[in-house]
Amino acid sequence: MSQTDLSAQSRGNSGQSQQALVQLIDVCKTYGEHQVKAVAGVNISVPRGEFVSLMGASGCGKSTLLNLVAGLDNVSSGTILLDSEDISTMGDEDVTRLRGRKIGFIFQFFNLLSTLTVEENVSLPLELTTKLSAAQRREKVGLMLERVGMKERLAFYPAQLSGGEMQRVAIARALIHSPQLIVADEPTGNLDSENGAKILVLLKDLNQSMDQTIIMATHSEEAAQYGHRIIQMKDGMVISERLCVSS
Amino acid sequence: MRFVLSLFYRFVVRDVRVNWVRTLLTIFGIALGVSVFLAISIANDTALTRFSQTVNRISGKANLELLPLSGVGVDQNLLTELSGLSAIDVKYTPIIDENIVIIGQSGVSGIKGSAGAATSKDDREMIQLIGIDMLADPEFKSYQEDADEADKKSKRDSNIHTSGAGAASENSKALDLSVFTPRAVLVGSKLAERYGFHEGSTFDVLSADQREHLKVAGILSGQGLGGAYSGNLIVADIGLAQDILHWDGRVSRIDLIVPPEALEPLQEKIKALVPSDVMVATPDTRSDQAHKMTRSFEYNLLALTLIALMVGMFLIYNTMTITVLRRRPEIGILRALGVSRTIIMRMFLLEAISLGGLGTLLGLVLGAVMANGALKAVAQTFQYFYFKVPLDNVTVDPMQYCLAFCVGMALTLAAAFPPLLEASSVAPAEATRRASHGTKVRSAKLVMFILGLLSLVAAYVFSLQSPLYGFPAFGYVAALFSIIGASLLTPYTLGHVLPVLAGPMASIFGVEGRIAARSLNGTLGRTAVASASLMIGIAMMVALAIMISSFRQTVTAWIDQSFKADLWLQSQARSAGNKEGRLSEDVLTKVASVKGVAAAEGFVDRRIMYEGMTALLGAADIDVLAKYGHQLFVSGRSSSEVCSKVVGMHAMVSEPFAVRRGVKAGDTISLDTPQGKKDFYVDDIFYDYASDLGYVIIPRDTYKRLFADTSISNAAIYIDKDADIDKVKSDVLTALKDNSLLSLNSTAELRKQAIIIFDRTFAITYALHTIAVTVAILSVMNALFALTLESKREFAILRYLGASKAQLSKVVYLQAALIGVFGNVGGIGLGYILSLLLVHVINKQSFGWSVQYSVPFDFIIQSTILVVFTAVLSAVIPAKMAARTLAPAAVRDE
Repeated sequence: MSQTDLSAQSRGNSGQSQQALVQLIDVCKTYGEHQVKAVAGVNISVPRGEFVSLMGASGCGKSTLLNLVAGLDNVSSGTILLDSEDISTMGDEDVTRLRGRKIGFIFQFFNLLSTLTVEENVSLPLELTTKLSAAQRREKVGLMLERVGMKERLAFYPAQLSGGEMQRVAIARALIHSPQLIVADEPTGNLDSENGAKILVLLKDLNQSMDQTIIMATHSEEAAQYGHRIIQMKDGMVISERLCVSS
Repeated sequence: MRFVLSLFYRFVVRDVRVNWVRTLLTIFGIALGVSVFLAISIANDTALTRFSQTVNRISGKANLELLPLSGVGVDQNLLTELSGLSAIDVKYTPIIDENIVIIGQSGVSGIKGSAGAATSKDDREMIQLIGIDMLADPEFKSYQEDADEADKKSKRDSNIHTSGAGAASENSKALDLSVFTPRAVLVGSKLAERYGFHEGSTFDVLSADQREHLKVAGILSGQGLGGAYSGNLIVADIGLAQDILHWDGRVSRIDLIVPPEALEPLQEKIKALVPSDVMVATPDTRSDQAHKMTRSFEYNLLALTLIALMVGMFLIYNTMTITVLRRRPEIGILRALGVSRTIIMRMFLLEAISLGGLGTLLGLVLGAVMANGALKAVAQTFQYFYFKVPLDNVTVDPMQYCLAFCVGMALTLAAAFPPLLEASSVAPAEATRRASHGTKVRSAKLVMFILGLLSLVAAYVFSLQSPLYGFPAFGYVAALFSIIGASLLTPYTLGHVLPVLAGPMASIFGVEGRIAARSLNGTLGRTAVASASLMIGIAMMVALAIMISSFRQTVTAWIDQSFKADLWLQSQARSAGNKEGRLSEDVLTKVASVKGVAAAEGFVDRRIMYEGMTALLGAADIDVLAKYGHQLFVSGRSSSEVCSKVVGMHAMVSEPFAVRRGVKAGDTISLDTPQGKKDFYVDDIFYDYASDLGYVIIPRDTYKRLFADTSISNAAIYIDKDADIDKVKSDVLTALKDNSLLSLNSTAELRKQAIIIFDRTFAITYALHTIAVTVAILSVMNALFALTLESKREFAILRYLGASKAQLSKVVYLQAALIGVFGNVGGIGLGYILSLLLVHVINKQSFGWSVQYSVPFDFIIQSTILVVFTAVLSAVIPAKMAARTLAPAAVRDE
C-alpha cells in the first residue's frame, strides 16, 4: 500500500487524495566531518488533520527529522514542503516567520521559561509573531488554558507546577497561535504513565475536535497508538508504516 | 598534587580555552586595576625618592644641617659661632640651594605684560642654583669620576668635564679653578645637553626681577652632586650664588659633618649655639617634611586606585562564580566519583591564582608603561605646591612591583574565596540543580540588605570621627563601608525592582523587554554583581566630578570675591614658578604715583616651620587690604572689620592652617623670627585655596621689623573707578621700565592661570576614574557573556517559538541597558554619598579646605547617557552569541 493510500486510509477517506500539509522528499541529513547520516533518504507525506507517530529507538533520527520539518536545521539534500512552501531552500528569516505562524512545539522537557508565569509563557508566541493587543492576547490565552484545564494556574510559575501541568501549559503554548502543524518530541517522555496518558488523550482530542495536524516522535508503542499512523524509523530511514490499531 | 594539576588541566584549562573571551576580559580587568595602582605608587614614590636623593646628593657626607625656621636663609655670621667646634672635629660649610629661572637663547629682556610682547613660556625654566664653598666643599661632597678612559688621562681632576677635554682622574678632590672666573658656573649635564652648553657658553638667569648673565665653566657629570635635581642645576661659588640671588650675608643652610659617635650630644650642643629661629636637624628631616607635606595628596590618589582595584575584584568574583555555577553538574559528577571537597577547592584555587597571577603580571607591565604618564600628571602638582625637583622619569624600585603584585594577588584571592567555598560545598545530589546559587542569593538577599544598611550606618558613624594624627583615616573607612553597604543592598533592591519593571519594559519594548527583566531577576546573583561593579565605577566618577566641580566653583568664587585688585604685579621669576622671586619695595612707590592708581598693596610670603610642619608666613599692607580688599572670613565678618584689627602682633590665619593645626580665632600662636619666638594673636580665619600648607598673615610693618626684609613677592594694584585700565596699565609699565623683568596681569588672567593650575592638579583624577569605569564596563561585559551562556536554553526555546535572531539580540541589549541603568542610578546615589565624604570629611581633614558643595548636573546627565550607551555597546558580542544559538542542541539540557 502506498504512502498516500495509508494516509488516506488513516483518515477514513479511502480513494480520495488528501492534500499534504507536510511533504518530505528524499530528505537526507548528515553531520560532521565523518558524514554521519542522521536522516537518510526519507520520504513522508502528512495530510492535514492527520496524527502521525514517528517511532524508533533513541538515535534513530526522529528528533532530527522534526527539527528539519520545523526549519531549525538545514537538510543536506532533499526537499521539505510545508503547506506547499519549500522550506529547505528558504533563508533563516523566512523560515523563522513561517515557523512562528504555522508550527507549534511540544518538548519532552516542557521547556517553559522559568521566569515567566503560565499566562506569559502561553502568550509568548502571540507576542513574538503577532500584533494583537494585550487584551486580545489575554482573551485567547484564557480560552486556551481553559481548553487544557489550566485556567486556575494563570499566575503560577513553572516551578510551582507538576510535570503534567507543565506539559499542559506547553501544549497550550503550542496551540495558542493556531498553527497548522503541531510537532511533539517525546511529549510524555518525562511524565509518569498516568499523566502521560492524560497528555496523549488531550492531543488526540485536539486532533479530532480541531482537526489539528500532529507529528509526534516517541519510542513508546503505547503512545504511538494514539495517532492515526505509525512511521517506524531506524538508522535514519523509514523502515515501515502502519495504521494504528485505534484508527 | 599531581592529581590536582591533572584535574586542573582537564577540567579548568580546557574550559578556559573555550571561554577565552571571558578569560581575557577578566585578566585585562585585573591588569587595569593593578597597573593603575602600580603607576600611581611609582609616581608618588619617585617624587619623594627624587627629593630624598637630591637632599642626599647635595648633603653629601653631611649628617647635620642648620635650617631656617623663619627666614629666607640662615645668617652666615652663624659660621663664626660654629668656629669653636672645629676643635672637636666638626666640619661645616654654607650652602645655597634655591630655585632660579633660566632664560632660553631666544629670551628677551624687558617687562612682560599682558599687552606687551612676551617671551614664550617655553624659553623659561625653573632650575636649581647650588652655591658651595669651593674651597671647603670637597670635605663634604664625593666627586665621582667620569668613567671614560680618555677622561682618565686628562689633567683635570674632578668630576667636571668639558666637551673638549676629559674629566678627572679617580678620587681627586681638587677643583677646576675656572669656577672662580667672574660669573662662571658649573652646569649639570642634563641642563647642558638641553641647551647645548659647552665650556665658555653664556646664558641668562632670572633672579626675581633682575637678569643675571653667567658663563659655563664646566659640565658636571651625572654622578655625585651633578646628579642632584636630575642634572638640572648650576653650581657656583657661594659668593656668586649670593650675588645672583641678592642675598647679602645669607645662605640657604649650613651643612655639618660631626663624628657619628657623638651625633646626638653634639646636636644638643649646637642647638644651644644657634638662634631660636634656626633648626638643627639631620638631612632626613627635610625628606620627612616633604613626605608629611605630600601625604594627603598621595593617599588620596592611592585611595582612588584602590577603588579601581575593588571594581577589578568584582570582575574576579563574577568570573569565578560563573565558572562554578556553570560547572556545578560536572563538580557534582566529580564528587560522585570520589573527588574530595579539598581537591575541588584546590582546583578552583589554582584557577583563581592563574587568572589573578596573569592579570597581575600583565598589570605590572602596563603599570610600568603608564608610570611615566602618571608621573607627568602628578609632577606639576608636586612641583607647584610642594617642592621643586625635576620629575622627568620614574625611579624603578622593585619593592613597588612586589607590593603591587601582592595587592593584586591578595584582592584576587579575597574575591575568589566565596565562589571557592561554593564550589567545594557542591554535593553530588545538587549537581543537577542549576539555580541553587541564584536561590541562595535570593534567600540571602534580605540578610545582605540588613548588613548593607548596617554598613551605611557604620559609614555615617565613622564619618563623624576626627582625623587620626592629622590623617583622615576614618573618612576612608567610611567610604569603604559606604561602598560595601551599597553593594550589599543591590540584590534585594534589584529583586524588588526588576519584577515591577517587567510590565513597563514589555509595554515599551515588547515581549523582549519583559524577558530581559525577568531573566535578569532569574539570575539575581550575577545581575547584582554586574550592577554593583558598574555602580562602584560610576560612583567614583560621580564623586570625583562633584568634588572637582565643588572645588572649582569654590575656587572661582573665592578668586572672584577675594581678588578685587585690578592688576597684579610680580617678578617674571615668580611668574615662571619661582615662589621666592622678590621685588624691591620701591615698585610700590612708583606704582602708587601713577595717575589712576588708587592704591598699591605689597605682599610678601616665605616658607616657615610651625610645630614641625611647613607653613607659609605672609605679610600684607593690611591698611590697604582693609580699604580695598575683600577677604572672606570663616566668622562671616567683613574684610574691613577684621583687617582693622590685624595690627602690630596680630595675625589672621588661613583655614588650612587653622584646621590642620587646631588653631581657632582668639588663640595665640608662636612664630620663630630672627628676633626670637614671637607671639601673635589670631583675630580671624580666612578662606584660602592657594595652598594647603596654610598661611599666617601679619602686617607688613611688623614683618619688616622682625625679619629685616623690605622686599615684596607681589603687589596688588587698585585703580580709580573712572580710570581707564589699559591706560593705567601702560602708565605703570612705563613707570617701572627701570625695574626689568616684571609681570603685570589682570585679575582675569590670574583667574585663568589659577584654573589652569587647578585643572592640572586634577588631571590624574580624571584619568583614574576613566579607568575605574572601564573596569566596570568590562565587568558588565563579563556578566552579559555569562548571562547569554546561561540563557542558551531560553534563547533556543524562543527560536522554536518563532523569535528571530534580531529579537534574541534585542533581549541581550535590553539586559545590558537595564544593568547600565541600575548601575548608573545606584552609582549616582553612592557617588553622592562618597562626594559628601570627599568634600566634607576627607579633603577637609587632609587639606583643611571648606568647599561649597556643587553638583555638575550636566556632566552627570551626559556621562549617564554615555555609560548606558557603552553598557549596551558591551553587549554586541554577547548579542551575536545569542543570535547564533543553535536551538536543537541548546534545548537538550536536562
